[in-house]
Amino acid sequence: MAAACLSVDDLCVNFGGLRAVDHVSFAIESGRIHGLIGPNGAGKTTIFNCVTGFYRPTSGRVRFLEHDITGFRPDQVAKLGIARTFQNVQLFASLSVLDNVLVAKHGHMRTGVLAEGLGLPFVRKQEHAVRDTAFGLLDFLGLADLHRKPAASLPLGHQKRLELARALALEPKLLLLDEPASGLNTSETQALGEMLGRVRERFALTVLLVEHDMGLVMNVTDVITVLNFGRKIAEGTPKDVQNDPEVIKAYLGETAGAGRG
Amino acid sequence: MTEILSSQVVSGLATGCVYALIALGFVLIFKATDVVNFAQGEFVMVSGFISYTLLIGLGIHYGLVLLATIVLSGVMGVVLERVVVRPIMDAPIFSIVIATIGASIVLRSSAGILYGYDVLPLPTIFSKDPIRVGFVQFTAMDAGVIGFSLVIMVALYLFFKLTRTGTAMRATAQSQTAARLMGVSVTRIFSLTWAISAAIGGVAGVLIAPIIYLDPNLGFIGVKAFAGAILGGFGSIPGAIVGGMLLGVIENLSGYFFNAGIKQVSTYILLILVLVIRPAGLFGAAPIRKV
Amino acid sequence: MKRLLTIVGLLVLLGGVAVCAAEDGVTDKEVVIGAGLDLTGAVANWGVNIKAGMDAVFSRVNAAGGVHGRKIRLIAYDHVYQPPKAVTNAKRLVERDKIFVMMGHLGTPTTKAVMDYLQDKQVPNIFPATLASIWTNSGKYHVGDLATYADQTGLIVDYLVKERKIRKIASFYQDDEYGLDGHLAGKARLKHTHDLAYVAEVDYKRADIDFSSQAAKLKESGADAVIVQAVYREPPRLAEQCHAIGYNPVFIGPSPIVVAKTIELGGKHVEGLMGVEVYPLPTDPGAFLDQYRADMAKYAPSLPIDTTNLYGYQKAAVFVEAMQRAGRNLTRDSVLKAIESIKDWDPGWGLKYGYGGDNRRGMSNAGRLVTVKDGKWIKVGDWMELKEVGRK
Repeated sequence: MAAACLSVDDLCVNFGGLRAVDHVSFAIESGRIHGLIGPNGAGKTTIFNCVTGFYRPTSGRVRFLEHDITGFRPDQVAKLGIARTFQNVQLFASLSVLDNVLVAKHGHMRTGVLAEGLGLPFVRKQEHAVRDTAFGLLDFLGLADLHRKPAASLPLGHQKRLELARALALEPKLLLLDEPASGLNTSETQALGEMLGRVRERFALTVLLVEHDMGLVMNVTDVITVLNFGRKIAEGTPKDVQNDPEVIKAYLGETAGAGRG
Repeated sequence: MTEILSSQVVSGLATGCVYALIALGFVLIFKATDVVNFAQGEFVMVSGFISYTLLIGLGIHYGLVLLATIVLSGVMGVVLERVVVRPIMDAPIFSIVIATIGASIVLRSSAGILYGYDVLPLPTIFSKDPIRVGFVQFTAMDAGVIGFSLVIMVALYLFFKLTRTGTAMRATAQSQTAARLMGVSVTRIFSLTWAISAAIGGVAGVLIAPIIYLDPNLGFIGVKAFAGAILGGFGSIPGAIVGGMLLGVIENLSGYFFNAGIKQVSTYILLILVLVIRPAGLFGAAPIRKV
Repeated sequence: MKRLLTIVGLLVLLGGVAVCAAEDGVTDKEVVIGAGLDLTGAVANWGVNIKAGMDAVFSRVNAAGGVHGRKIRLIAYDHVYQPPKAVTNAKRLVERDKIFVMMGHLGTPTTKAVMDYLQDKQVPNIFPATLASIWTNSGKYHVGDLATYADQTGLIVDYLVKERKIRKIASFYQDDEYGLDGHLAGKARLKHTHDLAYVAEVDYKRADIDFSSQAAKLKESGADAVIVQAVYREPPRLAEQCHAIGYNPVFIGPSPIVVAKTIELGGKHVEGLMGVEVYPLPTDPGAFLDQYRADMAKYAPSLPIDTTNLYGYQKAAVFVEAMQRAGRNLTRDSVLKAIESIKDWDPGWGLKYGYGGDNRRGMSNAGRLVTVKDGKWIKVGDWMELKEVGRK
């Protein structure tokens, strides 16, 4: 068994009196695409926010590779190599497509404002290399021609791709995708699935995917963890999970959520 | 007539440039942190006293004083952010705004205690003797203020457009959440924003204090600049610049065509007119919304 | 028992009458007087120094045992040169601090704002630090001291027209009770005596800091002299802005501009600026001025001697003289009567104070012209008795 890339141990999150995540544990092996599914309100996004440092768990630990990242700030988590996309695209709306990616690249570079202001040679050299990588990424995701456009002017499908490009620019070891297919039509979703495959191949990534589109999840994931009401109710290959009676009950019991709203 | 009018416009532009610099400070902090910093005018006042102390008290060379004042103003901005704003960052925006008002009162009173409430003349390298170019008559002081302000504005533009820190700052203004995920330390960006805003305020102080004299109430010029920022569309950087400059010119011309009473309220009449016609201000986009 | 009660009742009644008869602010050992000053606002230079000048006199007098055994205590509040605040402060002084008299209250608009209130409470308004003509003719409770802005402007107008042969004169004035006093008097003087009119009348608001549009209007009027009914901040700035557009008229104004601060702020731009002074310069000779310089050095060592603190100093000195004359039985009426008894009294600087009848003005209405030369105020003319100049 490969080493765990991310492990969540006995995680609990309370919001006031409400327990959103209830003693959840799971581990993701390096190189896998891991699905996290469940009806609305199951606690998927809450777990995402704990992993990426937006929430501090009430109890439990989050480990990433050799680091215990419980309670880290988002920028610290990002620097360690975890990137994410959002259910509702969170781009820098009025920045250009290229600048959106550059912001991610810059987080990785260690130069002071002063060195930059002085335009020191090593800074310039670094800057050139960064721009090349950014263009490479945009090219890979088919956005190179649009690099001057403000992000907000792109159609949603492109915006989602740009968000992915930006996440990849962080050179993450772990990529968290929060409902990447939401708002996309069938053919776009299909293209996204193919894209995810290529991305994993090229960047040697581990991926944690939250998704309501069951077709996509079943197609691309290696392992799936199923949550309901903040609890883990099942885990296994897509096939195992599909046949799990608990899972069927959870989804059938909440028909409105099953098909994805 | 044209001669007098043109010199009115030039001297209005000079005052307007100073308004614009202060307005820029308001807008930068607002864009980055959603906070309206009512202590912005106090940066102008404190920097005036800093340069007064360095120039008169310690007798340091003017160029060095200018540099030191800008740097020290920036430091003051960081300190203010750390001490006043950051501890209550999770409080409602309104509470933070009130805290900045409190800070401005503390700064004003401290200046009064340290230096007294008397007006002081602040020396400048720019002469106030008249210069004539064609039919336009102005002073080296006017030209210096306009020139220096423009240099600062262009430098800021380049900084935001071309440097990675500038890009990160723009990104943070758009979405703090996403910026955090990109590894941008938002707290660092906040500090930097306050530093830059305060430093620009410092420049404004060094430019305006020799003209309208230095006293602890100098910070009230921030009220006018705030009006300028709203005029331009609060949250818009070009808006702050154009709004501030426009205000300076309009004030002068209304004083020329009418009387001191009209001059005093012209700012606000103009502001109300613009807000009625364009509620978001001259350059404002959609109504302000919190990201 | 019944008789005893009656006696006790009578005693209480008598006691009550006795308490009513004693004046507010006066005890066996102390006299409390109040002042409303601008200590932090647009004319703070005047306020801070007037207070220091008055304090210097009172400190010396108190050190020598006070006046008829009573020490003088001055309570001063800051009205920031804003009339509404002046009213609040006056109420606080009269109703809470129970002052005996108001003294040296600074500013024309601010003192006018408290005028009716003081009148109602029958609290004398002694030597307010404003020389508007209103204080010479508003009844017994308002006691002005020196030559008014109106009379000073009369001197200015006569000087410009007769001696300088200038016929194009403009007025730059603060748009309130202060500026209007001299502005209107100048207008009347020009019309009635010289058959002239201002070529431009340009106003500004208290605490304004930019006068470029005023400068432009003055230049366009072609005035050869501009009378500045202003304080110390405005003449330097106005001169600068006039010079900036190549306009160099004679600037001349009443006593509030004759301050070291004007020169400190204006530098070379106020060289040649003229003013009227209504009491000697702080550097002049005379026993009274020697005393002033010694007291300032002792009690306000951080402040340089200046017309501003001398102004407060002479007010306090005349007031102390009045209290001496009023005797041990000090009441508001007795002190007002004592002031009226001052005639041809020279504290020791060659100018005489005199009060009497309806004319509450002191110092024989003296005035003389001064100008800025080499960064100092110097006298241009000799003392003269100013004529009464009305505002109409």
